[in-house]
Amino acid sequence: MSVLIDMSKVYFQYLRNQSDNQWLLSDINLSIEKGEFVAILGANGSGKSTLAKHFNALLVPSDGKVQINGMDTREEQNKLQIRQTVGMIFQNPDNQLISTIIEEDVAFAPENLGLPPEEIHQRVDWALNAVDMSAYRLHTPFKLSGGQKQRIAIAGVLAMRPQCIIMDEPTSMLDPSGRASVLRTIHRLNTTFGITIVLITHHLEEAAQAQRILVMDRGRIVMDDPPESIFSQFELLHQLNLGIPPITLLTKRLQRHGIDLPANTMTADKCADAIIAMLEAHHGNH
Amino acid sequence: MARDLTVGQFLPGHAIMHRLDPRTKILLTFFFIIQVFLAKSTVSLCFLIILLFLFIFFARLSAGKVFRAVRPMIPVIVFTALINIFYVPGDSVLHFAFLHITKQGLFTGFTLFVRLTVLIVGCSLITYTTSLNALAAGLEQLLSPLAHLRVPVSELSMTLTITLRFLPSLSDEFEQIVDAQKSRGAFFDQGSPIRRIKSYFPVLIPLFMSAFRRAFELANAIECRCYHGGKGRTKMNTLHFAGRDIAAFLVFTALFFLTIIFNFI
Repeated sequence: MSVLIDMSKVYFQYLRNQSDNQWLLSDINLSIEKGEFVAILGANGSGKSTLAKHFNALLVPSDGKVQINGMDTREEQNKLQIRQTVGMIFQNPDNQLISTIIEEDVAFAPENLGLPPEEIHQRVDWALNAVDMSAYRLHTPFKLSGGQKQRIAIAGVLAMRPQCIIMDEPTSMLDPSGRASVLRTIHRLNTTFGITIVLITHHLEEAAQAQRILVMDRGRIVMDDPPESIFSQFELLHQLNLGIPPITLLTKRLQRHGIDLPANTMTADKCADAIIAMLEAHHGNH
Repeated sequence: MARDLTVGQFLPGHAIMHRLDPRTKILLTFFFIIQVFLAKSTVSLCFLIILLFLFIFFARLSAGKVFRAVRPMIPVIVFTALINIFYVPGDSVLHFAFLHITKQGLFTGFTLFVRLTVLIVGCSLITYTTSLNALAAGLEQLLSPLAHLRVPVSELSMTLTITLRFLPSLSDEFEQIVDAQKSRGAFFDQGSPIRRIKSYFPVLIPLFMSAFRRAFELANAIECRCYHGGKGRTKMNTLHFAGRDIAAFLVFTALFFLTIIFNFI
């Protein structure tokens, strides 16, 4: 696998050369490979959104270097190519949709890229299909649910055929079913189309579904590990004001009472399986 | 309720008036306005009225609904007509104290009444039969030659599209803020007019704040989707004139000359 996003010694603050200001990002060294599914966890104000905006040149580092597919984000002529490579989805779907017709909204990015009409049509068809919203092609977004609007926003980014999509808390304004549908879509993009996903969230349950979790605190990356080892560092997560998922709490508690459960039980399904397996083994012995 | 704003007065349908290219409809509306002001005789004015009902018929709209659009304009129309009845000099028909009603005055008043009504109803037909998106697309393509004169046509149409998109969002938000302020004890429909106007400041300020916040977020979102102005942009759907558009132009030209001929009868 090859490196898609490469950051070395990145420091950032909005007003440069005001040395008494605290760095919003400091000493970030990071590389994300093609096809990865990475979650960025952190409390409010930990710098996760600021970091994400460096991935597609919305912000450029005050010091250090960010390279996307080898292109430096500080070079003005790379910007269009970088934004086409790395798409971004924001929290509020209402503020990302620009047209009153869904089809036109999805066509917006390919129109900006100056593609011929037939190619735009193909891409719109494909993108709407990929998020399972083809039936709404000629509808207006106003009447859709939050989850559906967010999937339209994802289709709008997909139409650029990006290699990577950054999701900045895409589910925080959605109801549980909308949230589930968006998360399912995100997974499908990663597994079916091999699109690199960077999911920013403060929900540990969402982060648990990634292959790798970065935990941020006050502008620094404090952990960078697979979910299993992140969730085993219970005390540290607590210190960083991150809510521990109830399943993890349950597992911990059972373990404390001497019940033998594996450490990697982050989802309800895995936990249930482990308990069932344990019970079966237990009963089998008697 | 607020959502209706997006569609304006547009009533979706499949009548011939709906299916015409928006550019045709825009151009023919201008054509019609000129025609209305060229009609001078009683015959040509009556011809216009007949035309109007024919248009309404071809748009498959109910006449009552269409004429409702004129309702807010009635005072203006009546006032303009009355002023003319009293002020145009000529052969006196009725004489009372300082008021003179003349034959010419009555005719001018009648002319203006018919012209203004026909004009407003005629123009409202385009908004009844064309969605705002189609109108914006039509305007953009009609104005596109101006891009050579460095008029930012594409940017203007983008602004228009975004405005249409966010109007209902802002109006929803307006209602929410009004409710929020009411629940904190604000009154909006009491006291003197000045007091009432003042009572809206606590609504407008949060509304502006949120509009700016939305604007920043939107700016980021469209930048992420490679928007870099109108340069090098293509369109997914371009408008094409069909046979019916040419037919409509021919019919309107004929009607135009008929109106002028009727002026001399």
